[in-house]
Amino acid sequence: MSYLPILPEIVLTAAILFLTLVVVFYQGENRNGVMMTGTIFGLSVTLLTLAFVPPFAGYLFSGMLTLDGMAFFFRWLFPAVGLFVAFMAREFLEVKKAENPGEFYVILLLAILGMMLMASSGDLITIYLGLELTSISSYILAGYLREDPKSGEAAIKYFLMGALASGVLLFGMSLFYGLTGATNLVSISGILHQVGAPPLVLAAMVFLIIGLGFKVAAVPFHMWAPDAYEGAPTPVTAFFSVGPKAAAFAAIIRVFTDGLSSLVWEWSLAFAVLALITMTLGNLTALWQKNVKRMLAYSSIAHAGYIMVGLAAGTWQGTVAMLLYLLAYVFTNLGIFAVVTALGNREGKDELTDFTGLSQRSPYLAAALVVFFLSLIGIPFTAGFFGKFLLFGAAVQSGLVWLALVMAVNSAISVGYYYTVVRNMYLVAPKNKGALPVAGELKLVVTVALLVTLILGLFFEPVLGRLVAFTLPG
Amino acid sequence: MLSSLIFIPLLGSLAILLVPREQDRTVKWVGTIFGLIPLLIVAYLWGQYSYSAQGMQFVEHYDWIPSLGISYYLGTDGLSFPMVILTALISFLAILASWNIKNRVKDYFFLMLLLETGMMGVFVALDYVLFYVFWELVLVPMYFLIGIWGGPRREYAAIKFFLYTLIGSVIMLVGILALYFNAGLNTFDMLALAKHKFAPAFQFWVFLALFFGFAVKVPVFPFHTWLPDAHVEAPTAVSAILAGVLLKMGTYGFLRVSHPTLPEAAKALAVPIAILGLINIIYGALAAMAQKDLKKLVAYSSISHMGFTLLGLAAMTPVAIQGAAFQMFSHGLISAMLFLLVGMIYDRAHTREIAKLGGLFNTIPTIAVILAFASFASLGLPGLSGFVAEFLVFLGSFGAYRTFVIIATSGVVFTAGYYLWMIQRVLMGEAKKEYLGLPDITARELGTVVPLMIFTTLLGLFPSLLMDIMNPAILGLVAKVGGM
Repeated sequence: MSYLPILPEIVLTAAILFLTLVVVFYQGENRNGVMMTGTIFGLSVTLLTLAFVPPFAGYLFSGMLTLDGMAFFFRWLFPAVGLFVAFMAREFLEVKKAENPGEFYVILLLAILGMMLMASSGDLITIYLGLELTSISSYILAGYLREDPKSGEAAIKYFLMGALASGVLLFGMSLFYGLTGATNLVSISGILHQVGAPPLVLAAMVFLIIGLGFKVAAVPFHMWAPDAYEGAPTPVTAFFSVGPKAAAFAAIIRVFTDGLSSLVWEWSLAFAVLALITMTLGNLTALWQKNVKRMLAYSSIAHAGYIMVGLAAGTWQGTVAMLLYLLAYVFTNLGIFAVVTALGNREGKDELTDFTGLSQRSPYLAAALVVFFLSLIGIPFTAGFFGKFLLFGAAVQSGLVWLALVMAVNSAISVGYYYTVVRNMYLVAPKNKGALPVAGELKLVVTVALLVTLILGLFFEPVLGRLVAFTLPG
Repeated sequence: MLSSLIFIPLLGSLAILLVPREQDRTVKWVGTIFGLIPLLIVAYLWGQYSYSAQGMQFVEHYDWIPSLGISYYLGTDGLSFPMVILTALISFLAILASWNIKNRVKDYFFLMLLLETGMMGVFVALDYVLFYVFWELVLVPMYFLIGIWGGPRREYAAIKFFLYTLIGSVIMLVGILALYFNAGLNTFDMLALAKHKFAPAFQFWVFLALFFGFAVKVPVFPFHTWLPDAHVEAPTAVSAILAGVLLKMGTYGFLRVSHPTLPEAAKALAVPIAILGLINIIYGALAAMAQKDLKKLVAYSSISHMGFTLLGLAAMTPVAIQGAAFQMFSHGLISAMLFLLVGMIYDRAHTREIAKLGGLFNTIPTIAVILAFASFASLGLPGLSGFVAEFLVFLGSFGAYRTFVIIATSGVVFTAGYYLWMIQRVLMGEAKKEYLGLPDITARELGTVVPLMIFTTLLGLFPSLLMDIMNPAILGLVAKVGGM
């Protein structure tokens, strides 16, 4: 009976196993297309199961899993991300002539399974398990284009840094186990409330912050991100910038607000400082990039900085703001990468200059990209506006007006690099005037992302209401 | 009804998207019609407007995001209704003036109507979030309008405009959120928050945050440097909108938000604001005098004229604020007219350099005469609207800031100086050979300036046309701020 609430995960696992068999035994011509269809089918069934499984809130498997509103949010979000990435991948794998395109989808699904596990874990062990499942799949995805040295470089860098981060994280976890005798977050929280904040607990906390800071690419633990993002196959970059990052944030929320709630003063201060340097450095460095994927890597570092403002607030309103910002950011960024993929499939270099004249080569993609950028800047009528609005609000409410102001100035700085692309698309005369052929599924992805961005920008009350209900304490 | 003012231009912009790219004429017609409808609605609303009622009229109030206390709340009173009239009028005339656009017509008219949506929204919104949403919406079409159809330095001017205003407005947003949380009323309702009493020290900081956002728009010295670039590079019709409507968003922000909501801070900071106003008046006038480019001259004259509004705001007497509000409307008319005329001259002579022009009275007499008319209106000739505004500001501020008013009057002298000098160099004198045979004003162009001339004259002769609308709201505001 207790397996029913995790039926979506079971369905996804079954899909993974089945698709693995398909990869091995199906030798037909159109393996790429078949696998994409299978993946999309598997993820859709997962989402449907999630929608129809009777709602369950509480702990499972002696506290290993926590199925609450936040878990529901992420378990819904991650398969949706998977759908987007699968749609983006097919043409890309074909154009780049990847060997064994089928395996790509299986590994993607494994990463998603790991992310879902992270978001619903109630124990340090399950968090680590989910994290490693996601990370190892991610290393493979980064190096998926075996012929491309840049892809290999991305994988190696990501792997080395990721392994280091996992080690640091694991060390922090082991300290907590040594100090409290527990790995369960609820038990840890109870014990910490009694012992207060002795130095060793704080040291252990710092290890957790560093380990998870690597995973979300917070400055100064971000060095791997630009290379990994630039070298990885574009759909994988899209996935990295939203999937594992959001999952790491889910893990952070779990560990810090569930487990270390008694140390809120200490960690919120740490995250305030991290947020400050992450957003500022991310934005300033992005200004100098020539490669669009590298630029978006720094942009996503900056956004991790914004999201951490919600942690710095240290309140449930901060958590709501983070979740909503993540939602806006995820779909906006997927939309951007769909456009980048569409362009990269034809131009192949992913340079910022590739965008020249896109407003005439493909008016729709160019206009959509403008909306996505406006959303990332936080201009109204887009999802990003309300995300930023809530983060500002959470910061101001917690007395962090200075952080809100820093974030405000940072939003303005970020205009600088998004502007380069918009300028190239609209104000610079195109070298290549031919219409840009765009695959149907990429158009679909852009359209869905655009709709989500705009609809969330106008009517976000239903989402907000739910998130508030999910995260309200008690 | 107010919703229709916002959504009809938006609907028009969407309609334009459906027109095939090659059919420029259809696009222009669709744009013009959707620009005209709001003007007709405003005329109708003017007929329905109650001159005696206190408080908001034509109110619409729906929940938008109830869990945060954000609502779709529209209404208009004596402070905003003149601005609504101005927006509808200038937008329509600007669309009419844009018929000579040749490049990417569809995109241009789409953005123009989107811009109108944003401006209308700013003036009728009574919820802070809604206000902010429209405030920011204005930025995006404006950026593209300057950046794509502007002059040689358009890219620089467009991004400078965008960045300045964006930084100002995000800081304003932090101020708005501080108001929201400090009041603890769980509402973004402007009127409800204006009733709340905030602690004086808190008022001071929030006032500064809001001031920054508004000051960039006005623009108040030293945040003005985007204006000459943007005005000069923008295409004619867009310059007219920038000067005619956009700058007023800033001073409207003072009238609607900072003064009524933070009266203690407004009083405490009145003298600095008056000084800034004074700097605007004198500096703008002197800078205008030094310009070699006709359009830049008009741009700096805008800075100078917006200074009168600031001075009136700082004095906080009923008459001074009437003057300030009157100046907002009057300057909207006159500056739009000036930019349209400069655009007409540029279209014909292909230069705006004052030294190269000359003798236009002899070559394009109608345009030249109207330009002389607009210049006289701008320098405050009695009988035209600019005079009424400046006179009221001086009269109302004299008690509080005698010295400032005396200094400010010298600004009027400088203004007369640079306009008369401009008229002498550009319009008078021998007709230059290269400008002989230039076509004079066309019927469409005449249509864009004549309504403005009529309004300028009418308001100069019968200021009560506008004053009667503004008075109840201004008296309410002054009662709140308490005078000096």
